[in-house]
Formats: sequence, C-alpha cells, structure tokens
Amino acid sequence: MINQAKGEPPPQVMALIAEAGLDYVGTVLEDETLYEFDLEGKPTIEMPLETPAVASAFAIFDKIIT
Amino acid sequence: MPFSIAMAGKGGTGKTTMAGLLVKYLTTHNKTPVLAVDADANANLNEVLGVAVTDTLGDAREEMKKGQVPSGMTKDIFMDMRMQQAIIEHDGFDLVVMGQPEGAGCYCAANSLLAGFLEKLTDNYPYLVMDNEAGMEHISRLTTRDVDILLIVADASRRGLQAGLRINDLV
Repeated sequence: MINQAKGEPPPQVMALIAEAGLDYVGTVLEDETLYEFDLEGKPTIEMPLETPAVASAFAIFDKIIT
Repeated sequence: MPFSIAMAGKGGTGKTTMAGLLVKYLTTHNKTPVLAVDADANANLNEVLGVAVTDTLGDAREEMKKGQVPSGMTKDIFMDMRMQQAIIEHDGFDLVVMGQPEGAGCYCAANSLLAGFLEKLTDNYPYLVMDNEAGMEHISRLTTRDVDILLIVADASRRGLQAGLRINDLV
C-alpha cells in the first residue's frame, strides 16, 4: 500500500510494483487530521472513521482481510 | 493458528499508524480478539493504540539472560511469568511489546524461550497484527514466519518504494 501520497501513484510507480510481482492494494492520501492527531500525541485510532485516511485504510483492509 | 498480518516498510512511511488502524478495523468488525505485537525496537505502537506499557518481552529476556531469576524458581517458569506480565489487555485486543533489542552476548536460550512463548500465545487469538522493525531486518526473525499477509507500506518517495520492493526480494 502507498501511504502519505499526494495523489494516485504515477504509472512508473505502478510499473515498478508490477515488475516486482507485488500486489498493489491501494493508496492512502496525506491527511491533515491524522497529522495533527499524531503531532499532539493523541492515539490515531481515536480518529473518526469518516476521516479520509481512515476510510481509505479501511477500504484496503476490506479487500485483504477475509 | 491466527490469521496473521505483518507490517513491513521503511521507517517513516506510516506503517505503525497503519498497524493501529488495522487493529481498529478488526475490532470494529468484531474480528476479535486481536493480538498486536510490537516487534519494533523503536516501539510506539502503544501510542497509536492509546495504551500504556510497563513491561516488555525484551525486559523479560534481559532478566533471563542476566540470570536474575528468583531462587526456588526455574528459568523457564520465571520467564513464562515475566512474559505473561508483558501482555497488556484492552478492549478487543491485547498488546505485547518486544522493546529493547539484544545487547552483547548470547541470547540463544532466552530467544528460544521467547519464541516458544510467542508460538503458544499466538494460538489463542484468531487475528495477529505485527508491527516490525523499519527496513528489512525483521525478515530473518521468528516473528514473521508463516504470515498470511505481509503488508508492505511505502510512501510515494523513491527510497520508500525501493525499500518496499526490496523486502519482497527477501521473502
């Protein structure tokens, strides 16, 4: 998974991943809320589920966890 | 045998935060209990999870290696007791922290007790999430044997990606 991204990964990144035989499972974009929680030492698992980073991470986990 | 997910990736990519979110995901989807193992010497999975740590497996291992076993107790019973003390219980998940890495000298005996303990412990949980050493050193350790998913976290940087790709070569 690609984390702290500014956008969807460019084709070169996707090509490198494919070439390495890895499964790409998703991207989590940079998130101001997460950054602030972390900076203030607040447990990041207390972030609301609607926070973009949490929602993207959960979407990735939906795919990989049976 | 638990369904196990090991986190891997260069330091600073956010794998510990993701490990925490994974524990949160599992608990909110009633996939419990989860055993979270922080195998990173720069341990801070507990901060992400909002849990205080008093005892670590590394402390237990160090005491065993130094022979600080109370008289009247065998080493393995003492070690087992100390390792049990290192399990931090919470809602839907338990956390164990490896803590300090090995110092100088031979840790073979202590490590084999640790490995035995972890193997028995992990069998009690349907889900296991392991946060590992940044980089690749953990690949050769016991904790990433037989994982169901190795979740490689990379950031969008060249070096983050390369580190992630290199991990796959080692597996």
